[in-house]
Amino acid sequence: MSSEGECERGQRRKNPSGPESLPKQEDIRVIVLEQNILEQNEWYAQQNRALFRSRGIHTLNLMSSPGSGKTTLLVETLQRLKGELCCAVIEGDQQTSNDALRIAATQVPVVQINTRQSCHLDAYHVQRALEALPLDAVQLLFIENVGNLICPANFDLGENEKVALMSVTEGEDKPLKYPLLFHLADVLVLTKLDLLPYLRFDLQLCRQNALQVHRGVQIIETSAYTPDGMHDWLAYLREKVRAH
Amino acid sequence: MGEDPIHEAGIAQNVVRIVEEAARANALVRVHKLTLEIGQFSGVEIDALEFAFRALTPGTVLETAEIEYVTPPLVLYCTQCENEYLGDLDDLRCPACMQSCFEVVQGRELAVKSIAGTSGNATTAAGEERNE
Repeated sequence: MSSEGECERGQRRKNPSGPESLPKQEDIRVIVLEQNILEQNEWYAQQNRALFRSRGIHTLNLMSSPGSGKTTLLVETLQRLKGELCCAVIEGDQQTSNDALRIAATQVPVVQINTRQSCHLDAYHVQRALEALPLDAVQLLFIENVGNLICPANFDLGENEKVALMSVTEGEDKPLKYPLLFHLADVLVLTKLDLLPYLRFDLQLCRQNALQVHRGVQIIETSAYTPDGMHDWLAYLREKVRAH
Repeated sequence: MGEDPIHEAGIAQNVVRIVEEAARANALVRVHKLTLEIGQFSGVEIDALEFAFRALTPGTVLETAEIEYVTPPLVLYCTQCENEYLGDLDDLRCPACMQSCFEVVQGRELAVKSIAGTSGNATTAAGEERNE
C-alpha cells in the first residue's frame, strides 16, 4: 500500500470482451459524478432514523456470526423485560422463520425478513418490516441482522446503536479478523459465558483484541441460561430506554 | 436492493444503476471507462466486486467498460495523540502511542468518481480505419 498519501491506481478490468472499436478521443466525454454508491441505502436509513426519533423508539442492530446466540439472548431478554418495556423485533435470516417463531412464543411482535440470496439486512428491508409492525407503544426495537461479520457492517439501518455479539466458543481473535464491524460497534456483547469452564478461551485476550480495534468499547458479558447472567445486559437496555 | 449473494453484488448493482442513470442523463450510449473509489476500510473486496460486475454488466452501457479502482490511503486520527497517521489494515494502532482509539479520516469511501463514454452519433477510430 502507498505510504506517501497518493491515491493508488488499483487493479483495472480490461475490456472483458476483447478489443473493441475504440472511439475517437474527441468523441469521449468524461462525466464527473463523485456519487456515493450507498446513497440509496443511506436515504432509507435516514427515513428509518426519523421514524424512530419521532416515535421515541430506541433501536439496536445486532450483528454477529451465525451461532453466536443472538436469538437465545433475545428470547431471554424479551422474557425478562416482559411487562416492563414494550419491545418489538425484526428478524433477518437468509431462509426460514425459525427465529421469528422462537421470538413470537414470547408474545412480542416480530417480523421475519428472509433475505434469500443476501448476506445482510439493508435499510429498505427494515423500512418494509416496520410497515408490518405495530409500533405505537414500542420503546425498544431489536433488529437481528443476518449472521455474518462482514457485510452488515456497511449498511446503516437507521439504528441508534450497533451491537456486536460474540460467543466464547469462537476464537479470541474475531475482533482482529473482522475489524470494521467490531470498530463500528457501540457495544460488544460476549455470550455463553457459562461455557467458559469447558473451553480454552482466554477472556482477557479477547477483551484486549476488542479494545485494540475499538478502544473504550463497552463490553458486556452474558450468559442467557444462568440466573444472573443477563444482569449487565438488561441494565444496559434499561438505561438506553430511560435516556432515550 | 437486498438481492445479492455477496454484499459486493449489491454494491455492484448500485454502481450499474448510478452509471445507467448518468449515461441516460448525459445521452451516452456506451461507457468506455468507469472510475470507482473504494476505501481500504470500506469492507468491500475489489476481487468480489469485479466478479459481480462480470455477472451484472452484460447488456448494459457498461458491458465493455474498463473499470479503474482508486484506493486512497487509509488515514486514521488518534484521539489520544490528536495526530493523523497512515493506517495499516493488519495493525490499526497509532504508531506513536500504540493505542487504537482511532477515527477513520479516510478509508471508508465507496463512490462512483467518473464515467467516460460516447453518445450515439460518435464515429469510431477502428471504423474509420476499416473505411480507408
